[in-house]
Parts: sequence; C-alpha cells; structure tokens
Amino acid sequence: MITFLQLVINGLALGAAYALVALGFVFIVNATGAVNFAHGDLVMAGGYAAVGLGSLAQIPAVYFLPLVAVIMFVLGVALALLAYFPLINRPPSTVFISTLLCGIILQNAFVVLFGPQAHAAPPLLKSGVAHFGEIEISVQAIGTMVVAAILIASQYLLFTRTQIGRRLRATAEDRQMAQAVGIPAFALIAATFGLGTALAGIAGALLANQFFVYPTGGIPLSVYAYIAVVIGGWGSIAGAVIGAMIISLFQVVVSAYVSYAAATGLLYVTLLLIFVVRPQGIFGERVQRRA
Amino acid sequence: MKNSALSTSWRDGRQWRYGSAVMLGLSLVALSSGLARSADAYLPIVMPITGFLSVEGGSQRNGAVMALEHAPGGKTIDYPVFDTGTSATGAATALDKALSNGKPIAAAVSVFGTEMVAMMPVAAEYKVPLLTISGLAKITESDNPYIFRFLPNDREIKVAHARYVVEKLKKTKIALISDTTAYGQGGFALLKEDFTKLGVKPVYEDSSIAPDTKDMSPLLAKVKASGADAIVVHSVAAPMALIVKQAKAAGITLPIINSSSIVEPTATALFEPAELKDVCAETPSAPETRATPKIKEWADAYKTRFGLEPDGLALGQYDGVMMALTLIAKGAKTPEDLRAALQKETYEGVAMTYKSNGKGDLSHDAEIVCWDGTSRIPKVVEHYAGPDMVLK
Amino acid sequence: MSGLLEIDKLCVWYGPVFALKDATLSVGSGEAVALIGANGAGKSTLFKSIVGFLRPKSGALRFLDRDVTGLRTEQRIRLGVGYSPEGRRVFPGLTVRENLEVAVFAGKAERARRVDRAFSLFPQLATRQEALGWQLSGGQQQMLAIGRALMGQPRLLLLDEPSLGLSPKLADEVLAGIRGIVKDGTSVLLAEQNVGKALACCDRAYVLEVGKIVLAGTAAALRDTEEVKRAFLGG
Repeated sequence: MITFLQLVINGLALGAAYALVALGFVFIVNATGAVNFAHGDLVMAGGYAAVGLGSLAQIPAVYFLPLVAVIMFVLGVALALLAYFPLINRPPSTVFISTLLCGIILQNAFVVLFGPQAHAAPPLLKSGVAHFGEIEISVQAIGTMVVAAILIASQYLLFTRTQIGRRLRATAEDRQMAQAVGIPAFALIAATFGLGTALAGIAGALLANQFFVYPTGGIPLSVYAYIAVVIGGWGSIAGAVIGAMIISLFQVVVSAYVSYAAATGLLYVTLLLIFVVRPQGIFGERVQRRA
Repeated sequence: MKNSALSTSWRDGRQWRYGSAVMLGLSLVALSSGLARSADAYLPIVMPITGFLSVEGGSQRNGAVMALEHAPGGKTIDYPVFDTGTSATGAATALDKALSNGKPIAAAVSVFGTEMVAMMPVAAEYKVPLLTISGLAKITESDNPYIFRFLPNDREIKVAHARYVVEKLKKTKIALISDTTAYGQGGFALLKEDFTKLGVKPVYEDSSIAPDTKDMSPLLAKVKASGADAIVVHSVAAPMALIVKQAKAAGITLPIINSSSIVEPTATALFEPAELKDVCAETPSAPETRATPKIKEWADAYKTRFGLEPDGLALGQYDGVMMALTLIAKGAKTPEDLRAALQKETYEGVAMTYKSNGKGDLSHDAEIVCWDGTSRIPKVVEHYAGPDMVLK
Repeated sequence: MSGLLEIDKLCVWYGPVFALKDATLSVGSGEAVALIGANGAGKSTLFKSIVGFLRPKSGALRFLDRDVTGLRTEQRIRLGVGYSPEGRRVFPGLTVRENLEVAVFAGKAERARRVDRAFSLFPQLATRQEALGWQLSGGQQQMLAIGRALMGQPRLLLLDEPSLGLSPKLADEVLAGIRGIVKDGTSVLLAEQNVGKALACCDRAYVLEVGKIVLAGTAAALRDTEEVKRAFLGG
C-alpha cells in the first residue's frame, strides 16, 4: 500500500512537470490554433538555459528562473517570425512541418553548443527529499508541483478573466475578424509564441534538474504534450493537465505492475478508447470550430 | 523516436537511432589540411568529430594527436583529421579520401562499430593498417588482417562485468537491467549468457527501459520486490544515471554495477559524489584514477594539453598510435612492415601491455572501478586480463 | 457634409478578374449611405478593401482626410471604423459579453458602460450574455456583430448584408435601428440586397453592377429611377 501510494505521488510529481510542458503547448494552440512541434525542443532549450546560467552562478534555479523565461520569450518570438508568420495563410500542416524543422535545428544547435551528453541543471531550491510518514518526495518535485499549480491557475485566469486573454482567444478563433475589431493580432501572436515558449522554458529548467537535458530529450515531450492535449480536449487547460497526469500515471503506476513496454502499450490503447468513446477529448471542445 | 539515446557511453555494438537529430554536418570535411608537408610519415586520423558521437570521437582524436605530437625517434608525422560525421557512408568516403591523399603508413580510426564495418573493405583495398578502439566484437572476427584494436571487445568485457558481481561480490540474486537501445540489448544478452555460465539465474530481468524513461520508481519497486541483492545495469548514460540517482534517493542500498557509460567524466558530472557510493562499473582502463605513476604522468600531461580529464578512449587510442609510431621508429617503413610488426610485437603501453592474439585484438584487460561516495573519481578494485575474460 | 470616407477610382482584382473597377464614392458625417447591388456586384469587396482585408490594385482610400491604404486592419478600425461583416463572424467560443468586450479599447468602467449600451440597443442579447457565440440564433448573431462593431464608438459603421438570413420581421428591426445609430453620431455604409428597405432607411445610395458604380443619388431620387425599379424593386 505504501509502495502504491508512493508510486502515485511520484506519478503526480512527474505529471506536474508534463502538465507544465503541455501548458505552453496549449497556450499557443489557444491563441493561434497552431500546433508547435518544436515545443519539446524548446523545453530542452529552457533546460540548457538553466544549465548555462547555473554554471555561471552557483545559485538555486529559483533565482534565475525569470531570466530563463525572458530568454525563452525572445526565442519564442523568433520562432514565430521564422516558422509561423511566413506561413500564416497556409494550411495548418505547413506550420506543423515548419515547427518540426525548427525543432531539428534546435537539436543540432544543442549538440554543437552543449555536446551530445546529458547535463543536469541546479535544483529549484535545494536537492534532497522530504518525508511525510513513510512517503518521501523530492524537494524538486514539490517545487515543480507548486510552480505548475501557479502557472496553470495564472493561465486559466489570463484566458478567462482578462481583456488580453479574451483577445488572445478571439485572435485564435478568427484572426482577421480580431483585427477587424481593432485587435493587433500579429503582435499578440508574437507575444503568444513568446509566452508559450517561456512556459516551455520554465518546464525545461525544472525538468533538467531531476531528469537531465540532452539534445533529443525534447522529442518525446512534444509527443506527450500533443497526447495530453488530445486526451484532455483540444485547447482545454484543465484537459491538458488531466491528460498529462494520465500519461505519467501510466508511466509510473501502471508500469509498476506490468513492464514498461506493456504500460506504454496500454497508454496508447487507452488513448484509442478515448478517441472512440469521446472523440472531442475528456473536456471536449465546447466550440464547433471551423475545420 | 523511442530509441533516441545519449552517447556518454562509448562502447560499440549498438546502432544508434538518434531520433531526427541526424547531424547535418558535412561528413567529408577534412578539418586540417591534407597538404603533404615534408614529413617522415603520413598517418591520417579518421574519426567522428561531428555528430552524436562527437564526445567519444573527440576523446580518441585527442589521444591520437597526443601520441603523434610526441612521435619517438625524432620522426615528424603528417596527420590531417578527417571527419566521418558519425555515419557509415561518411566514414567509408572519409577513409578513402584520407588514404588516397598521400602515402599512408596507417590510419587512426573511429570508435564507432558501424563506421568500422564500413571502413574495413577500404583498408583492405589500400592495404593499410587501421588503429582503432571500437568494441564491436565482429570487426576482429572477420579475417581482415588490417584491423588492430587497442581496447578489449564487448564480449570479453561483459565476462569481467559478470564475474566481478558473482565471484567478488558473491551476489547470486541479481536484478539485470538494460535499456532498449541496440547497445543495451546486446549487453543484456551477453550478460545473461555469462551469468548462466557462472551458475546464476537473475531474480529480476528487465530489458524494456526506454532511453527517455524519466521516473524509475516502478522499476525500483519491482527490483525491491524481487529480493535482489545487487543491481546490474547495461545501458546508455541517461537512464543509467536516473536509475542510480533515484535508487539512492529512495534509500536503496544495494550495490549497483554498471556498464562503462557511467565512467565517462561527462556522466559522473551528473552526480553528487555521495550519490555514487557503492556504485561500480566495468571499464577497459580508467586513466582518471591515476592508478599507477605512469598513468598519472600521462593523465596530467593530457589534462595540461587539452584542459580535460582523460578517459579510457583517449588512453587506448594513445597507446595504439604510440605503438605504431614506436614500430615506425624501429624501422617499419611500409604499411606492410607495420602490419607485420603490429601482428607479432609486444608493446608496453601506458595502460597495459599490448600483444595481438593473432586476430588483431591487442588488448585483453579490463578494470572494475568503484566510487566511495567522496569523489567523482573512482578507484580500481579489480583487474581482469586475458584468459580471465573468457568463460567456457 | 464633409467627407468622412472618400474613395476614388478604387480597383480590386482577384487574380486576373476585376472585382471593383474605378469605384468612387464618399460617406459624409451624419448620413446613412446604401450600397445596392446583386450578389457578386462587389459590395463585400468594397467593404473588405475599406477595412484592409483586401489590397486594392489602384485608387485612393481616405478616412478622416487621411490616406489609409498603408495601414493594417486594426489601425484603420482604431481610427474610427466599425465593421459588421457578411456572415456575421462572431467569435464562436467567446460568450456574448466577451464578444463585445474584446472590441472595447478603454478602461474597465467605460468597457462596462459600452457593453450595457449594446444591451439596451439589443435587449435580446442582454438575456443571453453568457451564451457562447455559436449558440446564438442567426438574428442574435447579427445583433451581436452590429453591437460588436459599435463597441469602438466608430465614426463610420460598415454593415455588410445585415438582413441576410433573417426573418423579414427581424430584418426590419435591424434596419430600423440604423436611424438611431446615425442619430447617435455614427455614419453608416450599408450593403443590402433588399433595395426597398435599404432606400427606406438611408439618405443616399450607390448602385453597383459587376464591380462598377452605375448610379448614385439620394434615396428618394433613386427610388423613382426606372432602372432601379426594374432591376430591384420588381416594378
């Protein structure tokens, strides 16, 4: 029982990190409708930024996390200029391919700049483990869950309660019409890529402590983010969080009872079942959006 | 995508699938000019300088360069570097270019087994000996007389790995774990075979660890439940590092005996020294331990020259090239002279004594190193050589 | 009657086909102007050119004595243009209130005031504030689109086919609202296929035929023109 509880806790901790990854992905989906397949690689970029900053100053990551976010914001705007705006009137699959290519460019840049080996970033606060009775949980995992909760809540409030959030949503739904009510859509889209990428960067900085960064580490993360968003419901923040948790629970809890390979297989079977039973995802899309 | 893997380990016999991150670098770029200077001999370096094996390629190049800079007998050697780009086709064309570029007496070549397989016919065509440290067993099992290897092959080194666990640590309830890369799968099969020959059946086996697995707690829970008394891991660096780190964090005190991936300085850098307590690994040589005065002197010189801690790759390649240079100084004038001499001479290197077994394998030594939890530099605890590394 | 919107010899091409040729028209302060023409005559094209969705090949486009051809859509809107497009294009996933709010560029209090004004103009919307855009009926969506276009307190309101798809009764209600909008200080340019109703609520009108303006004049004068009677009024 203790083991089971411990595994669930570990699963939730990993799920919090995945949720953060999915959050930046869903942010860009919500504001532009674009599927950014460089997202996982941007998560790695954030991890590398934390590794780089950590090696310059031997301080906990919490102090330079804002700087990581700023660096990543700039990178995200650059990505929008390079991979999104030139293709803005093309079919969505074109953006999908262009971001995928940007991801490959990033992977190669990582090899050149940091080498092919794994690196670890400094912990958010400190390394070590906290004990709750017989359950133990690393300080980093607690920090990750707290940061994830704050950012998830902020993003939810941003999109639902603020004027800028409404405008982001309007822009995603009908960019031209958003402009026709006076919204500077292009600036908002650039900022969206910036913010989504900053979220990716924060996720990367947190993941890079326990789970390392390496050049191809982002590839599965892009896939997880996509799966989480599909399971949860396209564009739904709550759905993305639930989707991320489902992935991590399969990886951590289910795999304790069957092999890793079988757990992965079961995850995809579950995914297919969700598609059949609830094609719109758990928190199904509430809008009949244009195709 | 599944098999994307790290390359802090260096042993061969795996096929890397590096996701989509295929290095775009030009594989044919010679990094230094191949223009013939008035040198006594031409000995090109053909190694993965770019691509995902660039760390390993960089180490072995450093080792070769260090030997070539100090060629005995006052000889001057011309040694341009050719990049294979970490690909089989790149390697074959790079070697062809390197060997046609002058009158080579030998070439120092790649650690990467896949590249070696591609380069072997080229060497046979030019009749030039290749000096390598690639571990892939089959490169010296295919009757190509031009291959000379200065590190032990995977088959031998896994015997040392298994024997240490069973005979020295006296462990019989073993949890045997590997990742899903070709490297992991190959090592898993060899270790399983070796344990069987030693009369031990692992109490837990798992070769399904994807290299991108993050949380190892389910694996560790299963290992715990199996009642294992030792954990044996054969894996690329990242999942191995996660297994070790998370086992320590979860308070698991079982000894963990790893494959050599963890010995690389880039891998040990991922740990706090305390996390490495009771962790061991096999490795062909461990110059960073500075175990003998000779190795210490060499390792210090290497660090001064390149600003890095040396590893077993650099030392193996250094010894191999230095053996060839010594034979050249002693009178080997043609590739054929050198091939014959490498085949029959015995050479006292920095790491060990090198002597061909008739197939081109000159090294039959392996170390087991362990960390004591106070430093990232391990200590040599056991040495295996020659017949020790063959199980009936 | 100073020229609020001045369009001079505007030409718009879709590839090799012209959609508007030498269109010249103006809208002054305090007037409602109708654009009359059959489907495909170029009414929507003209509107899209005014807001900047389409790039004219030649011609001048001036708003408030300013050349706006180089401005982006949102810049033109912020100068004082409100646009209610053909097909309404309300934001489907935003609530009624949100659809209105996104179009206000002012502080929170002013935003609430303008939204309330839209609700008093269209009481039907007030009862469905929290409904999502796509859940509204066609008539409600039309009201929402007009209300949204008014949120910036524009000097000029562009209404593209507001009665399309509405019941005759609803269409009358919508068109009847136009006089009130003009009275509040917003000029209106209305594209409408129902010529009788358009002429009834507007001061002046232009008749478009295959991309060209073929007739212009006061509503009263045009109503009596033989061509208009024959082509549009069934007489």
